[in-house]
This record gives sequence, structure tokens and C-alpha cells, in this order.
Amino acid sequence: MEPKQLTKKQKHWLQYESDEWVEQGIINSQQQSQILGRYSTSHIESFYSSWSSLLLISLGAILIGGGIVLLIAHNWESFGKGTRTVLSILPLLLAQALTWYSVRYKPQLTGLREASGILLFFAVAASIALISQTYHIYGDLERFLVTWLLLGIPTLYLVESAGVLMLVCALILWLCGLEREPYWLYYLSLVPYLYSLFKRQRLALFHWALWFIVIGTTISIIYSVAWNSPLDHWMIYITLALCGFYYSLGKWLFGFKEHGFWTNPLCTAGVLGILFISLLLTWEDFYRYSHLDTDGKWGFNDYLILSVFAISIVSIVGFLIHKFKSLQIHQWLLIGSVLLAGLGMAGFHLGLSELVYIVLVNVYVLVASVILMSQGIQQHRLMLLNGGLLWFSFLVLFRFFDSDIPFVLKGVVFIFIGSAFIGVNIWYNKKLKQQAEQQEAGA
Amino acid sequence: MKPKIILLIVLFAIQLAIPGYMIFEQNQILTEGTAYKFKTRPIDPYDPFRGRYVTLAFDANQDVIPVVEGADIESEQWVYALLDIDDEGYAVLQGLTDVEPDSGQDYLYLETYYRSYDGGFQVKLPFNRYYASEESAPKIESAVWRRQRDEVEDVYAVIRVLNGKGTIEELMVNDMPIHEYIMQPQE
Repeated sequence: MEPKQLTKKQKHWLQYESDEWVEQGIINSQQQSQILGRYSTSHIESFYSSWSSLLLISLGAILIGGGIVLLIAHNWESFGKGTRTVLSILPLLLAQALTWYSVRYKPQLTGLREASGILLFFAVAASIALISQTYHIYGDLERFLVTWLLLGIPTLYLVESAGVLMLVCALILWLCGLEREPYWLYYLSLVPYLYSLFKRQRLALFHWALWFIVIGTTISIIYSVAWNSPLDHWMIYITLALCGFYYSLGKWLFGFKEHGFWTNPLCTAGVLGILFISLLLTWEDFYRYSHLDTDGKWGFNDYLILSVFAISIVSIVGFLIHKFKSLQIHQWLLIGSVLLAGLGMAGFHLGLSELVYIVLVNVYVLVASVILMSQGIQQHRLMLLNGGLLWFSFLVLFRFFDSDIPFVLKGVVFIFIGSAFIGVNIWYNKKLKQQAEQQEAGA
Repeated sequence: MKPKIILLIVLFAIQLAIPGYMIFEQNQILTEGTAYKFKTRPIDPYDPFRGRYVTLAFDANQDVIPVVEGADIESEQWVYALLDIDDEGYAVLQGLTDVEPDSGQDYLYLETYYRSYDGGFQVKLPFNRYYASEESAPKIESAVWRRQRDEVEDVYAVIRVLNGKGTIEELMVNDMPIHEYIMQPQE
């Protein structure tokens, strides 16, 4: 049986305790060494040194690969077509040979696998680039990147290199920001790989990839519908629903136990998106132009994004039904912000006045942010408190500088809310004092 | 042999086949294709992977190309552009059709751009990149444009055409390859 991993501190504690057990005659020394033999600290100790060495190897391979591409980009026109054609295949052949050696004969050497995978990934690009350059082959950057990506994804599965995974993720992200096409769909091809990472508990890599996916998908969807699309006026509502979906999915996949900022990208991105977009909706400009351009030119991408919107809504509803009892009030409020999107779309078509919508959104953000803050205080959760505070502060800041509201009205509302805060604070302190006195009297 | 190893071999073969096919196709067009002269103007941009190139702004991109009678063509559609030569010996796009022409008629397979008010279309010639070194590309642009202010230059690209595909053989100024031209002392 393989020994279980402990930190040095844990092992030291176990050693100390078991010495006492031996002294007290609970176990004998043979049993002690058997127990101690079940635990090891070797993996933990070697983890950081191997991790840093892998990182250095990967960075080295990325730099060498990038360097080869740059050398080729210089364009050695004096070499002539024949030499350049041979040169274009050479880096690819060398990288393939190295990868073959690594996968076939030394699969246990992670560093070699990383280096060969990354070099192969770059060699493909270098080879296509040099041939395109030699023969003046037309085709823009987009076509080049797609070809590279299609050859890179199988490399990832066969070589299983963390560096290649990051490069593939970054390449898709680049395409998402480059063209108004649904390139985020390429992330779907990574799902089996990410699932295997998750199963093997390689969580750092898994989180990094997930960050790329969340950012790339969001950029791609916003970029695709931001203008000149029949859906452009719904862009903000679609993005809000998408953020609600991220948040729900994050909770669904990783559970309700609190995770750090970086370790649940879906929840973090979802919350940030919800806070930001709900604040945008407190301005009038978005609701005013909420109509759907049904006569516009609908393409595949528009239908796809509309489907993403529908799937997001259905998933959020499914999540709420499924986890009805586990959800806390601040989670309800965050996910409930998606209702602002529904209200914007439906309200505009049903003739709901702009003033009513804006007031409703402002009140929602105000109430929700205050509840978030109070939940944060009650549960002693700094992240929740800060989130609520940030949401609230920006709402106040926005309204303070809002030129569409008369100064007198703004002044009265600010004084009223400020007084309410102080009033609640005094009432709350009194209540605490009373409770303390009662407890003292009881004791 | 493990499936993974077999798949790795297949991947290597595909990775080699793609550049291999690119080389084969380009060489075939260059050796078997018919040469046409397309009037053009070079501009110098940059590609992070393939280095500097000059974008060829072809005169043909400005022209409205008529639609061949009976053809049904829309904007942003891939069509066959029939090639002909004008009185001065330069290539012209004679007409657009949606049916692949018979053998003997040279054509280019390209995408339509804007529809003109008279029913014709503007098109974009696809072979619009002439790659050159970091030193040469800006020289090509500046040399050609500086000379053009004073005198009429004859700038054209020799394009080899085969089965609808065109590839650049050489960029010429006054019947001189561009690399020889930029080596000349500029007055």
C-alpha cells in the first residue's frame, strides 16, 4: 500500500504522540513503526522543488518555441525557396522526434514531456508560418491560428502537457477576442481533459484552465453581440444571465463550502459580473434601448448566443429548484439579480416606464448590497462584507454623480439613507447592549 | 502497439501532411499555372508569426465585376471569376459566375464583397500578401510610393493561376523583380 502523505508538522506530531503511546504501553514499538510507515512526507517535500523545476522547463520551452517562430518571422529571403522549404519542416521533425522519445520511452519524465509537448506545439506554428511566408500564401491571422489550434488540441491529449493546455487555452482566448465568431466552442473540446484533471485532483491546473474558459467565453459572447447584431440591445441582459449561470454552476460543481477568490473561477467571475452589470443597469441608457431587432440579419452566432441565454436561464432555475434548501439569503439575492434582465426585456415590451425600471433596479441593488453587508457581519465573513460594501459604495458613487437626478432630490435621498444607516446602527447597538445586560442578569 | 502510440503517429502524420500539402499545392500552381499580371500597390503591415509583408492593394479590388448572364450571385458568396487580359497585357476579371467554368478558361475562386447599384460586385483578390524581410518590406513600400509621386510606375504582381487558385510568383516594378528594384540607387 502506498503511504499517505502528511506535512512535516503532522508527521512530527504523530511521532511525538506515538512515542507517548509506546511509553504508556498502548502500542509496542513494532506497531509504532508500522503506523509511522503508513505516512510519508516525501511527496509534499518534493512537490515544490519538482513544481518549480517543471515551471522553469516549461517557460524555457515556451521561450525557445517563441524564439524559433520569431527567427522564422524575420524572413530569411536570401536562403531561396528550396532551403526554406526544408527549414520549415525541420523544427517540426525534431520536435516530433523528441515527443516520440518522451512518450514512447520516458513517459515517467514529466519535465521532458512538458518540454517536448510545448516545442511540438510551437513547431507546428513555425512550420505553417514559414511555408506561408515562402510561398506568399494568403490567409489572415485568424485562419493561421485556427489551423494551429486544430493541430494543437490532439497534441494536448496525446502528450498530456500542462504547458500545452495553457497554450491551447490562451490561443482560444486570443481567437475569442480577435473575431466575432463563436470560438469559445473550442473550449468544449477541452472538457474531457479537464474532467480527468479534476478526477486526478490536479486542481491548480484545473483552476487556471477554468479561468481561461470563463474569461474567453464571456469576451467572445460580449464581442459577438456588442454591436451590429440583432441581439446587441440585449447584450447586457444576456451577459447578466451568463454571470448568474457561472455563479450557479460554480456552486453546483464545487459545493457550498466557501472557496478562495482564485479557486472557484465560476463563482468569482459570476459574482463580479453580477455586481458590475447590475450597477450598469441602474443607469437609464440600457433600458431605453432594450428592443430586439427581429428584422435584422440573424446569423448562426446570434442563434447560438440566444440558445446560451436560454440554457443559462433554464440552468439557473434548475439550480434554484435543486438546491432550494441549501441556498442562503445572499446567494438568493445574487442569483435573483438575473430577474433584472428578465424585467428589462419583458418590461420594455410591455411598456413599463423607464423611471419605474430604474427605480426598481436601484432599490434592488441598495437592499441587496445592505443585506450582503449585514450577512457578512453576522457570519464574520470578510469577503461577503467587502462584496456588499463594494456594491453599495459604487451605487452611491454613481448616483452622486448622476446628472439626470435633480440635486434637491439626490440630497434628500442621500440624507434619508444616511440617517437610516445611523438609526439602524444605534438601534442595533442598543439591542446588543440589552442582550448583554440580560445575559449578565441571567448569570 | 498501444492505441496512444498509434494516435501519436497519426497526429505526426497529419502535422507533416498539412505543411506538405501546402508546399505541393503551391509548387503545382507555380509550375503548371498560367501567369497573369495584376496591377497593384504595396502597403507594409506586420504579422506576429509570419513577419513583415506588403499588402497588395490590387486595382481589380476597386472595379465592379459584372455577373455572367444566368448566374445567381449574392454578396459574401464564393464564386468563379473568369480571367481575361486587357489591351495592355494586364489581367482583368471578365465576369462572375456560380458554375465552375470548363477547362481552357482560367478563373479564380473568390468571395464577392459589395453589390454595386448596376448589379455587379466588388471582390477581394485573395493573394494579397507578399512576405518580405524586416529590411525589405518597408523599403518596398517606400520605394514604390516615393517614385509614384513623380512618375507613373508600372507595379504589378505576377500570379500563377491553376484550377481557381492563384499564387504570387513575383512582385514587379517596371518589369523588374521588386528585390532588384529596391537594390537600385534611388534618386
